[in-house]
Amino acid sequence: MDFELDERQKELRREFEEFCLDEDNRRILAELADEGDYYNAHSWELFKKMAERGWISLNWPVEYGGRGYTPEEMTVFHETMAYHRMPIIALILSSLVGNVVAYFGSDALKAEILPRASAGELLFCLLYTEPDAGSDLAALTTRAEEDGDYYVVNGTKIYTSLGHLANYGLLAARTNPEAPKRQGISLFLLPLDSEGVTVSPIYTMGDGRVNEEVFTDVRVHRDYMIGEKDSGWFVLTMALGLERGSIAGVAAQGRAFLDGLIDLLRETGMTSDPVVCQSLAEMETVLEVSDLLNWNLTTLLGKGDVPITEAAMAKLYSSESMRRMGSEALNMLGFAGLLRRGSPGALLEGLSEYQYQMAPMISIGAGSTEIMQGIIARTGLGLAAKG
Amino acid sequence: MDLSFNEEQSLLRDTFREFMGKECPREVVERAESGDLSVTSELWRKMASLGWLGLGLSGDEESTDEMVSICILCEEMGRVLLPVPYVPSVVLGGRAVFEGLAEPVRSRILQSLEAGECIIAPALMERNRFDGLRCRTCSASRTEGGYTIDGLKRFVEWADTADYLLVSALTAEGPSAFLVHAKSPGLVLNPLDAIGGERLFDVNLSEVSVDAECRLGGPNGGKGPLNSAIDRAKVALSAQMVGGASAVLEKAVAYARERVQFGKTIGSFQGIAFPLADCATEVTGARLLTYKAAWLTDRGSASAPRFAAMAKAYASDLYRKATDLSAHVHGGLGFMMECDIQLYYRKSKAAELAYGDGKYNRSLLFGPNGGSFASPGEDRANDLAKSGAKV
Repeated sequence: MDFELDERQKELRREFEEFCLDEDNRRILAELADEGDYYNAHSWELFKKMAERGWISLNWPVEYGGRGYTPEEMTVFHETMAYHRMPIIALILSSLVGNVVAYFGSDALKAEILPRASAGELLFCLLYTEPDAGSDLAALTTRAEEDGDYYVVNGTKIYTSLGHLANYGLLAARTNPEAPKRQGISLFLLPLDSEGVTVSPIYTMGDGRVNEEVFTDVRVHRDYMIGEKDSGWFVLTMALGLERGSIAGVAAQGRAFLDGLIDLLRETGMTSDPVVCQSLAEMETVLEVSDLLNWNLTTLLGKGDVPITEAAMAKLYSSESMRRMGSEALNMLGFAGLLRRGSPGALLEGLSEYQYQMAPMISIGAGSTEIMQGIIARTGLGLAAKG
Repeated sequence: MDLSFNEEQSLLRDTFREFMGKECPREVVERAESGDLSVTSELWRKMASLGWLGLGLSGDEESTDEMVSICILCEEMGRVLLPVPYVPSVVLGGRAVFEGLAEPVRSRILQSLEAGECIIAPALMERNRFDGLRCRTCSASRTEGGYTIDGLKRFVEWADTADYLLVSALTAEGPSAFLVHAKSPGLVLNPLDAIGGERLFDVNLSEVSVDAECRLGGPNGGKGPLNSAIDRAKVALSAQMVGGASAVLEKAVAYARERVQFGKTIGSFQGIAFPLADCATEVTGARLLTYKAAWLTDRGSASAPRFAAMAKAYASDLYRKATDLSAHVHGGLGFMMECDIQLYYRKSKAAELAYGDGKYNRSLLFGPNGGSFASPGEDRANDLAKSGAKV
C-alpha cells in the first residue's frame, strides 16, 4: 500500500496547478462565472491554451498523438482541474470522442477528426438521452436507416451539454429495429451542421443550458459510423470505461468547496457551534472516503483491471455525498447562502447556492445512483434474480 | 499511489485468515462469552508463538508498515470476533509502555507481552462514555518512592485477566497514566454484565501505590505516549470493525442470494439489493480510510491523529449500520439466537463506543479552536494543495 503520489505525479500536479492559478486564466474563469454556469461553461481561449499543452489527447493512443498518460496521471489531471473549477467539460468530451474515433473510427474519420480535435479546434457533444430513454438508454428510438452509402436519421435527443456549440455529436441510433434492443444500436459521429438538424435550448437550475436536438431526415455518410453496424452498445460501454478517471473531479470539486466553506466559517466564528462542527467533520470524512474510492478505482485501472464495481462505488459515493453537502452547507450558512454571485452579501462568490442547485444533476448524470447501485449489487455482490 | 495490498501484505492476510478460520469457529466465540477463559488463553498462546503479539513493539526502523500489518491482523480478528484482548493489551497497552516507560521496566514488560505472558488492561474511563484523557475523580499524588492513586475507573475490559492496568489519573502536571499491578493492595474489581459478553469491570483504587518508574513519560509526562497509544488503538479497532462489517455484509448477501419469497430470491428486489450495495461501498471506504490512517501512523505523519479519529468515526457508524442491515435482511431469523448475526449485533455496540463513538471522534476534527488537531489541508499526504485563489 502507498497513499502518496509519486514524484512524477507530483510534478504533473504542479504543472497543472500552475496553469489553473495563472492570473490571466483566473480572469477568464471569473468572467465565465459572471455569466452564471460553471458546469457547461466554455471558453475558446482557455480551451485552446489547454490544447496547446496537449491536454485534450493525454490518454489517446500514442500513434494518434496521445501522450499515453496512465490512469493515475489522468486522475491527477481531473482532480487538479476540478479543484480549481476549470471548465473542462469540453475537454472531457473532446478527449472521449477522440479516443472513440482512434479506437473504432474509419481511417477517413480519423484523418478528419483527430488532428483538429487535439488542436482544440472542435467541440463535441453526446447524443444519447431521449425523452423516453434515460437510464434505460438501450430503449432509444432515434432511427438511422440505411440508404446506399448514407444513413437517414430521424428522432430527438435531449439534455445534451454543449449541443449548441458542438461541431459533431456522438450519436446513438437504432439501425436494426428487429434485433434485441442492445443489439440493434449503432454509433455515428454526426456533423451538426448537417441539413435537418435543429438545436434548441433547455435551461437548467444553476443558470445553465443544455439542448434538444431534433433530426429530420438527416443524411450521414457511412464513413461517420463508429465501429461495426449494430455494435454501438459495445462501443458505448467501452467509451464509458475510457473516461472513468473523470469521476475524481466530483470529489475534488467538493474538496474545494469544503475548503472555502471551512475558511468562511472560521472567519465568521461559526466553528464554535458544535452542530456546525459535527456537520463539517462529517463532510470532511465523507470527502476523504470519496477521494479514496476514486484512487482505489484509479490504481486498479492502472494495473489493467476492469473495475466495474469499484467505478460504480466511486460514482455512487461521490455524487451522493455532494448531493447532501450542497444542502447541508446552506443550512450552516443560512439565508446568506442563498444569495447569488454578485448579490449584496453573497458568500463564497455564489458557490454555495450553485453547489446546491447542481446537486440534482450530479446524482443523475453519467449513470444515476440507482444504476450504480444495480451494478454493484449484480456485478459486485452477485445479487441477480434466480428461483 | 497504490491502494491495494502488496504481495507480502496479501500473504499476511491469507495467513491470518487461515488461522482465524481454523481456530475460531462460532463455538469458540460462544464458549468465551460464557466465561470460559481457557479459550482465550489458548488463542493467546498460539498468537504469541506465531510472533503476532510483538507487532508494532519492535522499535525496528526497517518495519515501516507495522501499523498496516496490525490492521490486517485486526481485520481478520474482527471477521470472526476473536475473543482476545489484542487491541487494548497490545496495541494500546503495549504501545503506551513502548513509548512511555524507561528501561529496564520497558523491555521486561514488552518481552512478556510479546511472549503472551502478560496482559495489560487500559483503565481510562470514569463516566459512562469515553472522554479521552479527562480525569474527574482519579488522581495520583506523589509519595517518596512513587505515587498513590485514588479513584474509580469504569468499564475496564479484561481487568480480571490482566497482569497490569494502565490507569489514567490526574497529576500535579496534568493528566498522565500509570502501569499498575493488577494485584496491588487497594485495588478492587466489581464485575459488570454487558450484552456482548464483554468482560467489563468497575475498578476502585484506594491508596494504590505505584513505583515512580511506572509513570508514563517520566516524572512530568504521560499525555503524549498515552494519546499516541489511544490513536493506534482507534485505528486497530477500526480495522477490527471493518472486518466485522465485511463478515455481516457477506452473510447478508449469501442469505439474500438463497432466500426465496414471492417466487424470487430476495436479493433480486431493489429494496434489499440497493442497501446492500450502499453498505458494500461504505465497507470499502471504511477499509481504505482505516489503512490510510495506519499508513500515516507508520510514517509518523502529523495528520495521523486526525485520520485515526476520522477512521474510528466512520468505521463505528458503518459497523452499526452493517450489523443492523444484516439483521434486517435476515428477516425474522436475524432476531434469533441461532443466527450468527446476533453475535455481531450485540458485540458491535461496545466496539462502536470504545475510544469514542462517531460523534465523539468527529468532535475532535473541528471545534472552537479549530479542533484538536492541525487544520484540515495541512500535511495531507496526497491532497490537493490548498491555494489562495478562488473563483
